[in-house]
Amino acid sequence: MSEGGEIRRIVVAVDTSADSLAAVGAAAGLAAGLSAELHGLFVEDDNLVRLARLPFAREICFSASSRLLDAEAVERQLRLLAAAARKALERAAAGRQVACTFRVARGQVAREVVAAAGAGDLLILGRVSRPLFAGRPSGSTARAAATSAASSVLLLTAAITLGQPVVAVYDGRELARRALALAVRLARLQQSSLTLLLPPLAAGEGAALEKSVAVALLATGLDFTLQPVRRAGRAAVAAAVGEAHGGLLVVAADNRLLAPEELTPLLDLLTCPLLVVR
Amino acid sequence: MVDPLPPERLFRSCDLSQLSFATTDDLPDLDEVVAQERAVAAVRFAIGVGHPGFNLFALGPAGSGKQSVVRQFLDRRAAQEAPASDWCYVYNFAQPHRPRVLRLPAGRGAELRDTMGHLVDDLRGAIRSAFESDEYRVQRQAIEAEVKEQQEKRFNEIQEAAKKEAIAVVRTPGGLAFAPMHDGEVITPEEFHKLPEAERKRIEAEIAAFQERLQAFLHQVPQWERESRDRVGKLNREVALFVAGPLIEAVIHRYDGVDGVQGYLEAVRDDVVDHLERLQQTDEGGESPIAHALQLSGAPPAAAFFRRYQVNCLVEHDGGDGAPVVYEDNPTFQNLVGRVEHMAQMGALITDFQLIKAGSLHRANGGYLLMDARQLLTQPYAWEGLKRALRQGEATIESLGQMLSLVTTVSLEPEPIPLTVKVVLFGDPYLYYLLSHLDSEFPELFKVAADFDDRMVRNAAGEALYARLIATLVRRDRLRPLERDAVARVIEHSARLVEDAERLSVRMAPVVDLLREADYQAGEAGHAACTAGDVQGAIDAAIHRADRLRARVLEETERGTLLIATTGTEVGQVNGLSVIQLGAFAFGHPSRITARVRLGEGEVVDIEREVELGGPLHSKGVLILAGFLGGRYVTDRPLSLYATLVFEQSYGGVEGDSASSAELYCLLSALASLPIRQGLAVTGSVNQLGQVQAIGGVNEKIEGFFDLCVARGLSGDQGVLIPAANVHHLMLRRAVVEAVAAGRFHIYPVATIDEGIELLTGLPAGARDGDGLYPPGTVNGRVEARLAELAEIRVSLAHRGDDPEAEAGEAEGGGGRAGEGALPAGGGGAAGRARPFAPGGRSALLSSEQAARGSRGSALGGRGAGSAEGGFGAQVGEGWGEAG
Repeated sequence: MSEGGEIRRIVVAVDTSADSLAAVGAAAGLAAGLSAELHGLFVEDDNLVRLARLPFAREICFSASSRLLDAEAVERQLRLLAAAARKALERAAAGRQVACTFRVARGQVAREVVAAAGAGDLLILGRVSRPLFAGRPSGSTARAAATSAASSVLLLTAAITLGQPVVAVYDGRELARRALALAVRLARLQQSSLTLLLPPLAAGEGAALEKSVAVALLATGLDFTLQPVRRAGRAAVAAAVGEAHGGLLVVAADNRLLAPEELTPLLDLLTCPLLVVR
Repeated sequence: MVDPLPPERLFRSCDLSQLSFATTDDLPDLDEVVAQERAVAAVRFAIGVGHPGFNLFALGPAGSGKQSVVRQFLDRRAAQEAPASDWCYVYNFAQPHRPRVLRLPAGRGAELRDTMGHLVDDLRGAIRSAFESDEYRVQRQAIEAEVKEQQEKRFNEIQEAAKKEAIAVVRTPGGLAFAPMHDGEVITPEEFHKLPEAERKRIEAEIAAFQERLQAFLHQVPQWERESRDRVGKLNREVALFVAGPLIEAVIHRYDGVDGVQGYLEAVRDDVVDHLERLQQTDEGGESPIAHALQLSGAPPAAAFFRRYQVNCLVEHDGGDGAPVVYEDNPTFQNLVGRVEHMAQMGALITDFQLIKAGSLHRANGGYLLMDARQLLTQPYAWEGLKRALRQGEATIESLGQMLSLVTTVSLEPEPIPLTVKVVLFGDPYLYYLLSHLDSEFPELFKVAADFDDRMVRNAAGEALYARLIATLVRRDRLRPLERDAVARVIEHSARLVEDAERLSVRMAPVVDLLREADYQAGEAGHAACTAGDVQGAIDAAIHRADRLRARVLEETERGTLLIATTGTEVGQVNGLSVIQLGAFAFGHPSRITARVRLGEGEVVDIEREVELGGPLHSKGVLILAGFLGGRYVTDRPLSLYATLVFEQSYGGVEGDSASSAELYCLLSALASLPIRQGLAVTGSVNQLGQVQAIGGVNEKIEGFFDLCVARGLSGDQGVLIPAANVHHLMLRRAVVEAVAAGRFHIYPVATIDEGIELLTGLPAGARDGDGLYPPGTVNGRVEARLAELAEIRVSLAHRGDDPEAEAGEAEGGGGRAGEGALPAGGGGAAGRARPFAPGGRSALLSSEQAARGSRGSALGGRGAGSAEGGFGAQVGEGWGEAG
């Protein structure tokens, strides 16, 4: 089985949210496992800086109180957040003995993150940067990255737990094969099993696909399961991931599951990280 | 002159004709309690009275069968009584540090424990299944999604409304803010200032309005989330009640009518519902420290949490044994009242209701608790703990630290258990009287005393009963049967044990020991049944094992280290008799008593007392002598002698007044200058009237002197003077009886000093004639003449104005001139049962050994120690207060 799509540079978008810190830890682990470089990125939100300079700008806290925004205070807070992000990245990288760089960019967050993804082979970021309320599953940056980044994107909620099975959606197309190859690598890396979700195809086509992929996976020596999904769509896939106790879902970027209108509901249903392969 | 006793008065044989059996196999078991009618009535009374405080103290000498009698009685009684309740401790959901107690019918405590164990398993499975089911998940997600959608919807409404006004929601480090937008970006301050003032004011007003809306929204969020949690909680309770309710209800129905259990199970149900999330968190521990500890120690955390639903069956009965009869062999405070154990975990001591352990009070609750009083009193605070429980009528489990308020750390305070227990204490009478005297609560808490006797009347019926008792004991201990003459020998030995030919010992412990030893002898001899020879062999062997010191004393006497004359005559010297007690073995031995007299002021000096080697009873005996002399002789003039009395070669203490008659004989001999036959030994106490009174240890004393005479060769005129009142106590060894029968040894029963002095001196004692004078050739005549002479000398010295003391040497010399010489102080031995001044058996042994060594040591210039106690009272009484 070809394992194309080498990952040499991993870009991780860092802030100080829980998801983001998970992203840092997972990125360092993956970088070590894949022998890749790690590049940290902290984006200072340009909109926030501008807003702070407006005379009437007020901040509504989650306690529902409000206070005037102070431009200098905002700048100071951003510097502190960046420093904390750098420290978290450097600590994680040192722990895994991975080379890392870190830079701070100022601009529109989603735009900067998507742009930075182009400089690497894999972009890793938390699904939600500081959720507004409990249960709000995905942020705009994550959605933008999943749909627009030039590289593969890993959206994390928590660190990938070793031993949990990797689940991949496989329909036999070119990009799906790359996704499968990456899933195999990650499964090996984590010493976990692999569950392959096979979407409904025509009878003969499905059997042939199943046979071919089984042969290919047998050669890998991995513990794998082929799991046909009876119905197409995010709900069936999310349920299958849940049944398999999946720790990571790997999907090719051209899969219909990742269409802009499908992505947000899919992320809402998923409780595990999502890897979009390009 | 008193006649010696015939041999048949020295030993009362068992009448074989009254024993109509061949071996003990022919005799039926004896179910009744022998010779303890008073005690049995007390036991029956104590058991029958149900009121508090009617607990029982069984008092009697060791080996009197107190425990076996009471136990036998109680076992029989308890078997007919209703079984005691089971007691369980369970978790107190309202106050976890105060575990609740449940009372259940016998057998149902263990059942509840098992039932709850199964229930917990069932609950775990059912709850886990219910909360993992799709139905539950869908309902819960629907609730959460509803709230979430509501939040999103309201927020999106604000966001969309703002968007229409070209205002965006921007995330700030501390919250949210509204910003005017232009071309998808927040407008810069420069651009903003370029806007017309009206526009700027409009934007600011719009933003202010949105801020208010957002604030109102954020105010609502916690309420929505709370409502969401409440709805999820309600769902959880419904689901839990649906699955757990029937399971618990089924158990509740099984305990209909059992107080407390239903309430407890309802509390379990409520607690299960209240802690559903905890129950589902299989990877986290419970809230209690013990659960946490179990989690840390590797136990499944859910199991740790479910521990609170288990039942600690503190006391369980199977329901078929009647009321419990518990003997607490180690009555420590904790063993008595129970304890709360702790587990060391991460450096801390932790506990829970499952670690509550029952005490014997709990186990005996509803029945009877038996304990040895001495063991109880020697355990710190055990007596106080028992009294408190009896006083309060409930068993409270607490540590000593809690009871004494030494420890204030939080621990468990288990709910007290109501107590209905009858306590039986066993102890010797001394302990009972001490407690009665010193502990004011004791009479209130132990109102009934069962006073066990140590002897029974020996008659034909008594012997027959005793034979059945022996047969019962033989069978109980699976010993060889005893032949008829062996039984007779045991009965005779039993009489010897109580030193009374007319009584039998009901202290069965030494009798049982004899039976076992005889069984061994029979086994060695290959006998199928124990013979009289086997019994005698066992008696002899037991004596031989214990009589090393006796043999040593005898040997040293034979060798002349201890000076005892058994032939010839001496003035002012007599053989007294003492008994040395070595544990269970006692032996008699003669002691030389001497007296010297000279002119003085009527003093009879007890040298033993002067050097503080004489006990109070001995001193009393000596002081009586002065009373006797003063009351009988030259009553119209002052008693004008100075007499000294001493136990020769006595280096330990002397106690008891059984030597007082010997001392008087000795004194009379010295005064009358009449020699005393050294072939005779003397025992008996005397009163001021000259009557000889009973003493203890008469058999040992006679045998002690007999053994010495035999060792030196019986001359035919040797013997012992004993009080006539002691004749019915005689149960002498066969060798003594045979020697008496052969006329080679004699036992003289003496009722008065006059009788005794006649035997000892060969002269008549003499009685006052019509003129009130004693005849000159009699003992009394010579004594009175001597005392009159001393009085005359004293009077004449007084007239000369001289100090009689200064003339003492002359007076003594005068005695010498009278042909009496310097009176070699005569001696007479005496002593009752030996008892060292220092309390305790070990001291007794030491002082006895020292006495023997002292006799040798004295020859070498050393000093020994020993003591002897005399007095019949000391033998029959229970303590110093009754002695004498």
